Amino acid sequence: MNRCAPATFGWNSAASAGVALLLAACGWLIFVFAPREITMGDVQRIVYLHVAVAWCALAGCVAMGLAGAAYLVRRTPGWDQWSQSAGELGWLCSTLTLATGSLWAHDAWSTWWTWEPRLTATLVLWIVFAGYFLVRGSIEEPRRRARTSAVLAILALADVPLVVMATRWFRGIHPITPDMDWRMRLVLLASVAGFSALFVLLAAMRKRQLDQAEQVAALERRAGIVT
Amino acid sequence: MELIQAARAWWWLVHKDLLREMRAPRTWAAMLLVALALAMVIQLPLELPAAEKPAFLGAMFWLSAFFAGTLSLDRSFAGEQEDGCWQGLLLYPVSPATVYLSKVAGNFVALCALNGVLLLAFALLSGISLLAQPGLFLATAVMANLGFAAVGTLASALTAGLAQRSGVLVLILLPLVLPVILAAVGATQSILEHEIGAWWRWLQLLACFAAVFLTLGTLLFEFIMED
Amino acid sequence: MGTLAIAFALAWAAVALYVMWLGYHQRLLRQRLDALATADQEQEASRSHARAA
Repeated sequence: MNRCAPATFGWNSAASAGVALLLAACGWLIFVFAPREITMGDVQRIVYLHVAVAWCALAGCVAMGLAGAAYLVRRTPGWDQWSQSAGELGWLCSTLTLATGSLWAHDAWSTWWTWEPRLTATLVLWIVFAGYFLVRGSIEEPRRRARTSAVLAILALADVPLVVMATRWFRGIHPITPDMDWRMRLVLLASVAGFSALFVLLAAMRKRQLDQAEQVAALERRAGIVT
Repeated sequence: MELIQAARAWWWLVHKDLLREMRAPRTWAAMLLVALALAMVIQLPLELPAAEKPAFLGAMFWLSAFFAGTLSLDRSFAGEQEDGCWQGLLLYPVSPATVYLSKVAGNFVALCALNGVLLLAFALLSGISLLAQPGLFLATAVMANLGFAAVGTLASALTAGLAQRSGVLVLILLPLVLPVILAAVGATQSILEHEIGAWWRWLQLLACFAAVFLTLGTLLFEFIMED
Repeated sequence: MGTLAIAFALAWAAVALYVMWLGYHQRLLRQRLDALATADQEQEASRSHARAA
């Protein structure tokens, strides 16, 4: 009987090594190359991590929505799997954004939290991801689950810019684009690139795993095994 | 021609829902009572001096409207599902968009009635009338209710038939509807403080939200209705 | 400095946990595949037994 390949990680060694190298380079850039900031000192280096994961969280949301739309058009399970992978990592990144942001805020503004546009929008994003997975978890039938999740992902995608607009009109103290030393800007870009690469790698691994799970489920159905 | 038929079908669906509600009030009675209870409970502990009331009134009003309105939205599709009429609705020769827009209209009417009751309750309990500038407030309420009904109907359809329905509906609805709540509160506050420029900005955000979600809903509803 | 260390530690802990979670799911998949292989072998065995009989 034909079985799918041994269930390994789908660990693409070259890609993983590449990402590891990139992250190591980022580490060097963040801790050695980037100049020490005058006002806040070394704690300012959190920014390189915080902005990178925030960017990944937003990218995850966008990817989740676009993959959902692709699923509704194409109806291939692969798109639903991409949507789920992007959603999981997006949720993880938004959690990290809130955590690192809070840590930085405590040092910079002496408060763990404030109802300020970007923070509120990120919290909303976090809740949206959580809702997405709650709904996914509540539906057994795979096609209905994929359809419902896709619609929710598209709604979330449309909502996030509106939340940003609404909260920006409401009030704002979060730094938008402060004047940065060219070296800091370089390190920031590198950090975003590094974390984005890690995001894509992990998402691809997860997507492949979901695909394998789908194949195993199909084989089990054929063999009459009920799970 | 098709448009006239669709409009007739839309009116028939709206008329059917409103008539059913009038004959055996299941949803409206609960919703209006909850609204009154909320209006009391929110204002009672906050014995504010008259000068500070306007700042909070807008927020209290729209939060009460949101929570009570969620009851109506929650029941949008429950009626059909419980009475076994869902299949009938699916087989009825109208486009899913017409069904969606009819449900939105029904919810919109319910939310407007809710606003009326809340206005009365708040005027009596706080001594401040939100209708000092009726035209502006009416425009705000219409846009806010439209946006809220648009996204709420979608969310209700998404969560209809899930295991833990009500909890998930509020969880999904809250982040999606946040821009509406913020904008409505901002607009109401601007009216009370006589800042027309600010009010116009908020109204634009409300209109934008309503337009985006009505369009999305019309496009996406058929994917929710498939079964 | 402590804040910086905590932030980076959190990030790497999150990535590590996610990878471990992926590994756990992969192990589950492997178990299911093994169960399928075993069921397959048993079916083969009973078929050849029936043929022999």
